[in-house]
Amino acid sequence: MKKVLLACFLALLALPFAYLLLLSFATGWRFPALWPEGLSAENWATTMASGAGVGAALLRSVCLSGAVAAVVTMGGFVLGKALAAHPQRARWQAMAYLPYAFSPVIYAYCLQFFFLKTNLSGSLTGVWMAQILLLLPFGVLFFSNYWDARLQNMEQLVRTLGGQARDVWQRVLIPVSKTALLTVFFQSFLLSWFDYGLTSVIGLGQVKTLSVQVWQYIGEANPFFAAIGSCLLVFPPVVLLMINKRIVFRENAA
Amino acid sequence: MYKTKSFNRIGVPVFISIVLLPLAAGVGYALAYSFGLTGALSQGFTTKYWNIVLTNPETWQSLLLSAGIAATVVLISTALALSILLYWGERLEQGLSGYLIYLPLAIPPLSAAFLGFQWLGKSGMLSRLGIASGLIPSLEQALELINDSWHIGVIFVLCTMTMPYFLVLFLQYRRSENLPQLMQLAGTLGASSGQMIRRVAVPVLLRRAAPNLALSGIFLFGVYEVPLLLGRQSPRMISVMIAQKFKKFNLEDVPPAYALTVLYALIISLAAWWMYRQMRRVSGNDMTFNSTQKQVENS
Amino acid sequence: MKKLLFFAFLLLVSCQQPQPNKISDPTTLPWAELETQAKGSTVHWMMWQGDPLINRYVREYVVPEVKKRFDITLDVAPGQGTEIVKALLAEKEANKTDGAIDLGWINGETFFQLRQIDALYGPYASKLPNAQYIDFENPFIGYDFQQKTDGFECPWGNVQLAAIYDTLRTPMPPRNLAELEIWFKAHPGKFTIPYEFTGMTLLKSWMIALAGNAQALDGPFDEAKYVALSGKLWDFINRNKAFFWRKGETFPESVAAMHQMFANGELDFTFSNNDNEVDNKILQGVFPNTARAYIYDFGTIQNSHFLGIPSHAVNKAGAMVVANFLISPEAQLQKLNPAVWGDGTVLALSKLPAEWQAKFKAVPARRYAPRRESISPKALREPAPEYMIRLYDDFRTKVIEQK
Repeated sequence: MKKVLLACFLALLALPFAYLLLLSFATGWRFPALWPEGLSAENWATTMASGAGVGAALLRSVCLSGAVAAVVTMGGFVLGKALAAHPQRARWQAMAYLPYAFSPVIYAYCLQFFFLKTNLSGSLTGVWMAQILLLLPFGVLFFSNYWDARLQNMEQLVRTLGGQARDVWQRVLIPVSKTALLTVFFQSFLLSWFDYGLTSVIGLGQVKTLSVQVWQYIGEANPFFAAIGSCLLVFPPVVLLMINKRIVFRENAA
Repeated sequence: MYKTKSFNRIGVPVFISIVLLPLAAGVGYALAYSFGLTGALSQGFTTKYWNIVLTNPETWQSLLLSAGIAATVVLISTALALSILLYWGERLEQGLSGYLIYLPLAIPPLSAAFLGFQWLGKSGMLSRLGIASGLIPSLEQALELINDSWHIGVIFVLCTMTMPYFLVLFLQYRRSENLPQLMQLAGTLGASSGQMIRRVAVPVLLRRAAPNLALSGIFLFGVYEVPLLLGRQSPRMISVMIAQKFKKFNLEDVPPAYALTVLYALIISLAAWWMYRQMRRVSGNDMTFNSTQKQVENS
Repeated sequence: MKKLLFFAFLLLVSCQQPQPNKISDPTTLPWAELETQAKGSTVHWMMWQGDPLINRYVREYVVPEVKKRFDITLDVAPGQGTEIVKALLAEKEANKTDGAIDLGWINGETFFQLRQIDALYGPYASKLPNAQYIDFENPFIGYDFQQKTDGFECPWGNVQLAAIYDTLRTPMPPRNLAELEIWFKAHPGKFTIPYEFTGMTLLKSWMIALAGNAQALDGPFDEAKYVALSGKLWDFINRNKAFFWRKGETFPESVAAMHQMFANGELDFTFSNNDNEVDNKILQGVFPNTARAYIYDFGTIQNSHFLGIPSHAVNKAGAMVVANFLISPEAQLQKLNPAVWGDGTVLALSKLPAEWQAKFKAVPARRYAPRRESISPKALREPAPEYMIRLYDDFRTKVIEQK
């Protein structure tokens, strides 16, 4: 019984993916039909055609999220170290929660003026920077917990043994922290990948990431195209999960 | 030559200027705007817009609604995740289930909202299944599950996003806190299975997860896409209300939108401060956290 | 780490779009020179993207044609009139001299607000070579929400609000407010008003009907008139809303969603700000071919949509070249075709060269929408923009929030 129920539960978890895939190939699916009127690859061909911009949006999203994750990971690693060593560490950590806990869309409206002033809104660079402002606290928080006594001692030891600063980072700290770095990279990649609210406000709709594109299809009440967009949004994270679920989801690196 | 101490001295100011300053500047701008001190239509200092916001019953309804939905979602998700964990235990981590339970974490809020629309809408899949199975006689009798007065659609979809995250979180604590051994020990000491769950498993997991549950609550308070697509127009959740005031017709709505933003920032700060105090009091520990919960809100 | 950061930088640079040319006031240039200046530039066009056919017309026809003919990259961003206003307002507040939007799809209420904050560039419309064909004498085209456009926006399309129903489900659709009231009671849950542009246009038509005089709202905004007539309107809606979809407690936010609910049988009526839309929706297979469009006996609002250039747009020359193309006989003809979009033209056929007149006359006729000639006599003029802005706010407080 337990086994059967578990199977049902797992099937339920997989259902949305199957449904999205089916919907993306459907040619019509009017009420009250339980199955699409027809299946064809035509929707996919149309959306992936160069003019539709989905392919470009996909590429743009990959670039953007990769670039955001890179900075959040490295910035978080370095700043987290500084925070961890600070006597008022807990207070700074608590403050780092503020931008992190802020609703991205509201944060975007707060930042909009400054991004306009600096000519950054409506550009990919602007969205990149805004996402870093939103997500860097995550990296910092993660690594400020990660830099524990063990790691600090390790650093101290290498330095005592005559290691140069460069050696300490390149030969010890970074290699030792590879898993933690990958964790933050993938997690911030996902956060950036999923963002719609901040990107649409700072990007002025002109920075068409995949999530912005999906929102447009939803707005058109075009479920088939929205399903294709959703598939493209969902499957890369699924692949990442399959590669290494522990990297994509880890509670605490320390 | 590199020195750890001097590096740390630069590190904190850099942290302040990248992480805290932009937020402070943004909220400061919002504050100035809300008092009529800046903006294209500003005519000098005025408390008019704050008056509008504070006397508008919708402001308070919206804040209450957001808090209510956040609390409901955290409660339901916690209860569900705990039940699932305690029912299936380690089986959830074995074989295929070890992968499948992570799957829902890969669904962005946008797609979750879209799926909610496709499934829960009056002419959606659920009502089609109902009609096909004869449970629902016609479309008119179908349940209203989205844009409904009880926000069932919003709560349901948010739970489908939060519960899997909690489940994975509990699974990790189950391991890190050696829960099976603890329960075994309690059993040896004569506890019934009900007592083991009530007195051992649930308190251990909840205490460990409390900061994360609270943080999820704060995130849920500010969710945007899901209520935008599945919620109703009145009352609206706070993020939706603010964003719509920024976007919609009346130019006079912009200063009140900024006032609401300041109000929201104040509430979030108070909540974070309260959380910080609680954490210090309870464990003297630093807060632990995970980004996945942010995905719920990252909308 | 450096490698990683460099990689991040490279990624961003490779995804960056080219910057457009900077020209301050192109209206002083001869047209040929203006076209040369615009060559190779990018025009950022913000427009409402809530309709798949309109999007396809832009994506598959306008964008490639503009590229081919003028070597202009047309970058389309989604944004309704209100969002354009708010975006330009924010830019004005930041004292930006180089805006992110070069061209906007705007309507009367947007035009009014943009003029209020002095955010429109012009007069430019009369400088467009193709403007010679525009039917400026037609009050529905030459005026926008009772305002003279003074060349600060260029007419692009002309439409009339229509109700869409299914002849199988509703053989005798209600033709006036009294019949509507009877119909609501007989068909609870099957009617609603979209809480957006189209819905507000419907409310204005109803308000004029309640006044009992087609010219009731002509002229500048009149507070007393508004209070009296909107009072009647809220009363009419509130006494019937218990029979609306979701008992009138919530209203759909987009016509696209309403179209879907109509197609699925959840609603018996949907509305379109384009009298021709029923044709294209049937051709797409979205509506059943028993769907039809009609106009109430008291008439519905006819209005035009326009193209505006922000005063601080970077690429005004490019925007003008694109606007000129959009009002060219060819682009207008293409969009008139019900299979493409079915948007009414703003050109006066009599002004066109004979060959184009013939082409316009040969456009496939509407099959499901009423003929333009039959509904034009029932066209109501758009009232002043303040009516729309007030209705939009008051609909929330007087209807949605009234339990």
